[in-house]
Amino acid sequence: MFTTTLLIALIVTAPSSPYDIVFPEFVFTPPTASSFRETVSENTTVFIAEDRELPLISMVATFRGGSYLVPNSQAGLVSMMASLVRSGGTETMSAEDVDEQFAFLAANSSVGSDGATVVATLNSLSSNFEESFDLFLDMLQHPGFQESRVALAKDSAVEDMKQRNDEPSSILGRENSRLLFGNSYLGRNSTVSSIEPIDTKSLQEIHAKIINPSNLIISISGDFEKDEMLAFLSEKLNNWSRGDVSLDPPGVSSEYTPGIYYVEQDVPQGGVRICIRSMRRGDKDVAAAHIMNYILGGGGFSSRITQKVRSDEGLAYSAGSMFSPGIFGDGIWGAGYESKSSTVALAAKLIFDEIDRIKTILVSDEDLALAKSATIETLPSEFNSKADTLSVFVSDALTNQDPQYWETYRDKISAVTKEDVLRVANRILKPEEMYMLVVGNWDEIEVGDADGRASMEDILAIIGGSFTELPVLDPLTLELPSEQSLKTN
Amino acid sequence: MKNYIATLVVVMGSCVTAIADVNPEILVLDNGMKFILLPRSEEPNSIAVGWVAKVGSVNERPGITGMSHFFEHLMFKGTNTIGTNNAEKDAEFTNTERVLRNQMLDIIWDEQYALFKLGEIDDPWDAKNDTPELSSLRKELQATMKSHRDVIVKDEFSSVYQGAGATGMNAFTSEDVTFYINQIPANKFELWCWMESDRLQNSVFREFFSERDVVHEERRMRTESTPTGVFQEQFNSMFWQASPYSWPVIGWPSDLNSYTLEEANRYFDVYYQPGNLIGVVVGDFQLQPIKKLIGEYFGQLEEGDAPPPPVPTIEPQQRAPQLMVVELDAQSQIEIRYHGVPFRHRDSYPLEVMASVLNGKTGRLYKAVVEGAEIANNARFTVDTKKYAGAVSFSATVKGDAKPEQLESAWYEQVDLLQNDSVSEYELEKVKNNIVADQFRQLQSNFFLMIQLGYGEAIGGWEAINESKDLLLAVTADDIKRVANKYLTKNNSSVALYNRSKNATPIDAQFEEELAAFSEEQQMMIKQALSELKAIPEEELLQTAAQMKVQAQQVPAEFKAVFDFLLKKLQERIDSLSNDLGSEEPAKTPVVEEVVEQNFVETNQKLELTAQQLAEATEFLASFQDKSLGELIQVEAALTMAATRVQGSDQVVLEYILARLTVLIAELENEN
Repeated sequence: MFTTTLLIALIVTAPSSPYDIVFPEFVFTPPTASSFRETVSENTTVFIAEDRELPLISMVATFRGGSYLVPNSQAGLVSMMASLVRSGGTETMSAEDVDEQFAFLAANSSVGSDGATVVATLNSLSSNFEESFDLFLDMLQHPGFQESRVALAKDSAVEDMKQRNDEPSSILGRENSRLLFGNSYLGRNSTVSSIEPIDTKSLQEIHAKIINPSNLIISISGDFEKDEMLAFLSEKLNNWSRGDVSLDPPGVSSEYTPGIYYVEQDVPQGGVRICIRSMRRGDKDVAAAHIMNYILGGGGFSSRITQKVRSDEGLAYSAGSMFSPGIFGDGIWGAGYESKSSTVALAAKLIFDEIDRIKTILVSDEDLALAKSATIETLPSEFNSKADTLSVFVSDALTNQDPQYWETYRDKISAVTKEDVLRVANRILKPEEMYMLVVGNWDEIEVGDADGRASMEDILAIIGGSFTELPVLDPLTLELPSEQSLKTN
Repeated sequence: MKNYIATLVVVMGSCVTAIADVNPEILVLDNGMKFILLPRSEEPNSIAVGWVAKVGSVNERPGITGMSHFFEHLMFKGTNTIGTNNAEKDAEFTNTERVLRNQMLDIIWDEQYALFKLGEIDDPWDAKNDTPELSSLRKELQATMKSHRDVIVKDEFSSVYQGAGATGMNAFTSEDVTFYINQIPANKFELWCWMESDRLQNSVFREFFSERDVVHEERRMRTESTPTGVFQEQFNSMFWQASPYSWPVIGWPSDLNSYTLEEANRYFDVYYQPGNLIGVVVGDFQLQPIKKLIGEYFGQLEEGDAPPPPVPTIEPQQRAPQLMVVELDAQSQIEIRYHGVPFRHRDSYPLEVMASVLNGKTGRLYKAVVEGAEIANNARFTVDTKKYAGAVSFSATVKGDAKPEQLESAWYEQVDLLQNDSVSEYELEKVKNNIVADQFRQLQSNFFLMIQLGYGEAIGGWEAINESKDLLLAVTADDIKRVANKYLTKNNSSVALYNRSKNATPIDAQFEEELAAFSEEQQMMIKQALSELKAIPEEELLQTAAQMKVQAQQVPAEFKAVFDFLLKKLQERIDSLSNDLGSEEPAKTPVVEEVVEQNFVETNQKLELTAQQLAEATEFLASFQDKSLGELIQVEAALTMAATRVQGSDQVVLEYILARLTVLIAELENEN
């Protein structure tokens, strides 16, 4: 007995390398949507999971339909409708009373919209969930759009617009969306003239179009008994009359002109995006493209762009790339960083060198293995909590995701080869089809670094096209400020 | 369904203390390192892990400001086994770099600083001012750093974790602590023990100088390229007279340039000894095997020679009000900050409850200045309790052409009410209901529970997480009145007024643009009506406005916009008059806006969130509504690097949350 103990003690000394540690087995099977999916009240999908540790219930009501349903002249209408559903009272209660009730019940509720959906959330103590839910449902079904709040929401939208140009980073984000998606619902922004005409009538119309049970998917998790909750939801939703189902968002294609664009801002640091349109979600190369991007710039500190630009040269605090396959329209590959004016060009040069390298030289076994294992090993974290899990399934349902997607995810990643990475890099990373957008002090940025390692002319030689100054648009109209026009150098 | 109908108040009394108490296992190793271990079963796939060094900018001194934060960066550079393929060569390079850099520093101290003082050069650190000798040393250093890369395995420390599926590897530094956090797959706890105990014993500060440039870029991004960054830094330094809280966590640029490797090593020995460290583990694990691994790995750390020195400076009482007036390219705003109390001080609880009475959509500030007087887009009161001292502050962003001074007067009216009248029973009950619910909400995520326990322990005791709800629930109306009189005094205040600079959008141009939204016919009507309104004598303005508001209810829909516009213009005129006269704000029809949700939408359009992601983010963010600046910065810091590591859809959510947090922090920082 003693010798056995001694033997074990001897064996269990710390491994000399982290790579030698033997971990306990951990088998992860991705959950399947069907085991959480139920239907209540005729045809409303509910993703449901009990989670009894804390006396809370968390619910998300997602409605198909978003800003793509309205023309550009009404940009901002859907998001204003969403926020006013929450803040504008109901047909029978004033806005102030609704706010007070939620606050007194200690229930958190919000309503917002993205381009494609309107989302209403409710988080309440399980002890007063029914009261909170009744208020929540009344608000969704019978919004009051109280005039004072409509007026204030419009004022507030204009106040927000006024601050649009205050942060260079918000100019960068806005101009980047405009370059990528132009005047489509993905690229546009609200303006004073799109907000000003909003009135009760237009709000009610868009509300009726989107907020009805035909567009609804519910997810709910927390402290309840599943069958009781389903019966409760069925009963509560029964009398809500159905409407038209919103069509899927239109596919938007990205139609920029390659070249270098800049916005003049008097700051010591230039903010940069380098982007190119890319493949859609169903493409057979998506897994390989993810792995390629991980190695190139998506894998945080382990990625080549971060290592070159940040840790080798100290040119940026954050530098990296992202790959986002399109769901309904074009996808995007993009790199981004911020660097002091004189080294903006140098950092870009290093990124294009890395692009060139991944297109011409097979990645190492180590790089490939790391990218694959990081991608595979983090899969369980997508499903960490019950709420995480349900949110994955709602998103999948809304975007018509392949039902086998998670089951086969790890196999698809495992199958990616070095040759795939090289091939897909050549397929998607074409510098002559990219654009670069810079927000900063152009005179200082253009000349490049003091040692002459790179200037913006050098970068233009890689991308082609020309330098184009984008004016700082009037924040309220997003039109050219008077007496200033687009100039091309 | 009967369990859903039980009233809140009943539940408050019975459930709270029974369920929300956190009872971790405490383990103290022989070398003094303390561990807080909390097994929970709700998230079976991963474990939240972290350790805190009880050191932050408060432990620095002039000359080495920012060292704690810089250190946090260095700790990711690896050890004598992680991050190099040739430890011996690597050490040689590091030493050569150190010697070269010290030679450079000698010249900079002796010659460049002298020239700078004489006005001969503008910056003693800028390479363009180098003497020939300095220039050649600089080139030699750069060449050495370049060769050094051959024996460096780039960012191996991060790669090991990433390859193992860790998702939250990160660190952050505040005034009081440096916190290293992670989220690892449930079966990989030993990896964390290996990696963290290794870097606590065998750390190598390679890439010392390029990493310093990274921090310079971080400073440019966070402080110098934001409209309010440098002013907030100045305000903070004005606010703290003697306390080391007066310098920024990221450090002054000159100090950042002058760190030496020797200084860094000394700092490590003093502040990273096991007795100054706390480990925290929250997640689905068995206590016994975890304790065994902790003992095996962290038990090897050598006990320090002597405990770190104390922080003796007590901020002297402020004797006179302070004022800073700023012109900047951003929305006009205000912050009024008062000296408050440190973490767990008994007055911190009434101050927190006071903050809840003031904040939120149904709180006093929103009703007074956002929906009432309509002079603010948002307003808030925050309580910041640090380890050695604290502050409370009011801050708001102005609406339209209102002036920060109007917000200042409005705030003093609120202070008056707090000091002289008791808050109502209803307000207190509402606040306490939310305290109860928030106690549960803050337990929802292992990761944030881990951060709260570690942070709390480092600045005053993890037990605060249990103790605080009882102390908050015990706060009375009299307590609030008492602390309002004690802390919200003129002589204890520092005011920062931020005015949008004059060259921003001129009012006339703005008027033209607003007008452009209307049809030609409507424009005519507006101009006609405005000239009539102009003729109304000042003393009748309020009455006219009131009449118009009544009429507004009956206006045909197609003229509603015109009418609203006129009303708005009239109101602006009233505002400007009352402002000029310094009189009280006129009473207005109460209206509320959804500042937060508006912002959500704005940010969200740029980031392309799916509905579910938005929901997740929104719910997540809801838990930060009334958090202090310190807490938000912790969270932001934690998330910033996490964002570069998490995969796929989570990344978008994180970025979105970060964008929102940045807005919140920016708002808060105007106060702090």
